[in-house]
Amino acid sequence: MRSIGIIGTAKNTGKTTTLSAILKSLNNKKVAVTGIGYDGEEIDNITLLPKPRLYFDKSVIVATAEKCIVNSEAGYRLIQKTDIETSLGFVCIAEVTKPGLIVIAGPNRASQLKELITIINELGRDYLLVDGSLNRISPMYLLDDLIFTTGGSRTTDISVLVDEMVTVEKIFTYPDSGFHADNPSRGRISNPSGGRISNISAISFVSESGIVNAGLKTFIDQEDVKFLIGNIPGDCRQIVIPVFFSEAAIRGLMDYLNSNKKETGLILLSPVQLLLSADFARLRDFIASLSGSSVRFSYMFKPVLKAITINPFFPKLYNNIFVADYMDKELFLKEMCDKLKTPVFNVEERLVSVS
Amino acid sequence: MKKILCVPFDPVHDVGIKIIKAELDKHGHDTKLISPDLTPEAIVKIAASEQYDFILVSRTLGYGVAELLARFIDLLDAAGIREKTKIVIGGKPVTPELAAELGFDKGFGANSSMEEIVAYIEGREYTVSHQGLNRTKKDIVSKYDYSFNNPEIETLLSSIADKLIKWAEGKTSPGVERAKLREKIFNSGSQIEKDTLLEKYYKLCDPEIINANTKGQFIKGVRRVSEKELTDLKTFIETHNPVDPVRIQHADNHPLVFKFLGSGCPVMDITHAKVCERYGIDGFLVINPSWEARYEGLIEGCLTHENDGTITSFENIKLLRESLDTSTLLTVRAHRGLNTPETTLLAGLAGADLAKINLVYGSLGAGTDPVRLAVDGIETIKLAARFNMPFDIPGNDELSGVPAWKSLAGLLINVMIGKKLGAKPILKPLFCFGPHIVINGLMKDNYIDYNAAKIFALRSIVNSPIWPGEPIAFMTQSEERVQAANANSYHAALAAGLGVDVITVASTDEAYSRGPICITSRIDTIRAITDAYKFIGNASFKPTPQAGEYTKMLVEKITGVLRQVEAKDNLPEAIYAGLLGNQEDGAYPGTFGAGTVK
Repeated sequence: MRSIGIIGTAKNTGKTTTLSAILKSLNNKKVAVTGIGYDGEEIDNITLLPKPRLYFDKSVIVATAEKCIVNSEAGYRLIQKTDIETSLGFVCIAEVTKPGLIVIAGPNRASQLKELITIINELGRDYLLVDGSLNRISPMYLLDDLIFTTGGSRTTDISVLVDEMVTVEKIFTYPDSGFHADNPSRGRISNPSGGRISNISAISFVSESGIVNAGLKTFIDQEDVKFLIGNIPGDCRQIVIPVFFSEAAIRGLMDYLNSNKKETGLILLSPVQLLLSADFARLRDFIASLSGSSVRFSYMFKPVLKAITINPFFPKLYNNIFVADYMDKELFLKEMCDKLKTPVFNVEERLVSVS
Repeated sequence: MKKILCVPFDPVHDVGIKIIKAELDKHGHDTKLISPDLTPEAIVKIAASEQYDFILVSRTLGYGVAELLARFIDLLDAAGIREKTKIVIGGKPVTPELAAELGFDKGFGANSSMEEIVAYIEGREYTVSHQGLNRTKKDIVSKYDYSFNNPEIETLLSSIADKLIKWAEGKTSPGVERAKLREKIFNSGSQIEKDTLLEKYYKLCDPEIINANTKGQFIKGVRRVSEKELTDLKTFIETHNPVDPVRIQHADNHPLVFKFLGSGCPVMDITHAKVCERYGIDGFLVINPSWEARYEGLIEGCLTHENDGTITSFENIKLLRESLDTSTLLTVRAHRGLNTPETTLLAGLAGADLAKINLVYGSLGAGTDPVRLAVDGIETIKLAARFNMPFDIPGNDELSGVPAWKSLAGLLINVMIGKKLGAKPILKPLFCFGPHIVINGLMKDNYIDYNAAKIFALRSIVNSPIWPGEPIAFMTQSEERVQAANANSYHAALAAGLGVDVITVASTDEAYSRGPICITSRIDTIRAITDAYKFIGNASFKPTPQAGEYTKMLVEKITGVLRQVEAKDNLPEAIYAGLLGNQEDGAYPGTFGAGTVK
């Protein structure tokens, strides 16, 4: 099974439309669909503008909250009620028996998504599509492929949007460490240094003598940096950071490693976690500062950046209510295609083809 | 005991989280409130430093905030905090859907109670404690004995009522006879007898009514409600129990609040009514189509009508009654037209709680011949007494331009007739900005003095329930919904301060809807009045000394009018003579049913 996640840089950047386009292109495949959080509502919860809704054909499997499946317009056959709890009830797995609209409200954290991937995998599906909610990305590291959506809803400044996606693309260029924790969608991969690394969940030092817990829960501020630096073993080859970290803390650590000419590898959980560590502008500067660094970045989980979709729509505040407006779509698409190697689509005009 | 981190994710609006923290402290939980100006990263560090059971986040929402909150959730997820800690969002606009979209485990909004929040924290199942209305039907009349405090007025009214009742003795009309036949038909167990009685009934009907009942040839815009529509309605009611109903009255003595129903469609009426019930409405007045008052006879069946006014057939009234909560009061309009006794009979048989009768206004402002309405009205009041249905007496003739003292004199005449016939009348003076008031500048300074004076004047005369209507704030609403809601709330607060029993309120689009009014506009005024009651509590507005002057003037002029009416042989004669409203006032004796009394 191949899992594909749709990540938005903001609300209303076209996640649902992208997902609908992929669904169409996979109409002869065995597909399952879920979402991180809740999506598919008729009216935006904040702007009150109409939103695109998810329409499902017969035989698609959906994983959504009980409240959503019971109230869906589509016909369905309940396959399983999971113990994955959301604020709208437990997630249910159901097969669509009559085409129609279904609101998707799936797992909202990584461990829940992991559990769901296992369940869907066992159902023999070819694809699992995971719709993002807002700009949520954290659990998406568990997936094989990611598609980013961006557009006027984030900012109407095309140069900023292009710059952000260039940063995203660069973040996805760092290699897979080959040092995986359990990943149900890929199977288990062993640590090349011998023995299977199972669920490293704490900041750890990897040295000749083995793996040592660094004793830190998060890696956020200079206090954390100081603590970590003070405990790095002399023969440390790699530092594994599978938890939340800030860009400022990583930068502090790198400054130390660079100034001490230590050729240490930094293994982060995934590009998704790096994206979470700071805003795009800081990340862009951070990536630039890596050239010439002795530190080697790699990821425990490395999803493929499969495509970027753009959405010229944005909600404009007019007389205290939001109204729909649009950016220059041709210019937007051209600028993105010129600056990026990743395929870019205007989601409302071209089908996203998954291969 | 739960360990809870309280996070004001907003530099300004942190009142809600502080109140929740205080409540959780009271319940013995270990809470920690952090500073409101920390970065998401700093909050994550604090959250990771100890094992919390819950992180409660409070935040107002605007465009862009959703992304901030979603990122915050991602940081907590990435830090592994979500595995052992529930993350909860609170804020006025938060709904379960929004909480799910933002990725939180739970969300509490403006409609969440503290009890619900504490139950969630303590892992107790929270059952909405107010499934269903859980209220009892209110009694409007029992605390009044209809004793008079003004001996002269009492004497005049008694004479007017006695003369009318005596005058009406032995008189009958097609309306009275149809009501008698209808009751026999209702009580008959024999189909043959029913058919015979129905044949007699149709002899007293207009052709339009006969064609509708016998051939299904309905008046334009009328059709039967389909079986599917009825089934769907039944399902709707059965599956939509009012959740967390609101009570309008802040103090126990605050006036009950009634709304109109009369969209033409009983299904739409009931749908609106069920929503209004949830918002605390105490009762409804069913308003029938104006044409129903002009035809002799009533159409049978569950019927819908594509214009203003819901047909008051037995089946429609029964459907309304059975669809409403048992605690909700139902009034059926019968104060005008040629079917007054029969409508009240059907209302009584269908279980309605109140009737609506005014022998004077029904003749002057609504087109029924005074003689016919006097005969029909007396029979109607007797029926109301028999069915133990109090009847309200609308004073809407003021809207035609009739001065308040004439309108109030008419109400008092009805009270005395009702009292003598063993019924329970309810005075219904207008709280309005009527034409006579406008022309004479009676509300030039404020809207309080003259409205209050009407109540003071009536109270100085008789100990009777008072129900300002109809609706309150008539002629003070504009097309702007906020203004209209405000106007209603001010009048309601005035009514509460005056200690009246009931008020009727309109929607904010009542005069401007250009078609059926919308449910949101109904809720506008209900919510405005709920707030107004809370605002006024047991306080009241202080009228200026002018109210006292107006009261004195009203009592004097009412007395003057009643002296003139009493001098006539009977009430219809007084109405024809314009003593209770004349052409100059804008009132004309009606002509429907003229010459039909025998």
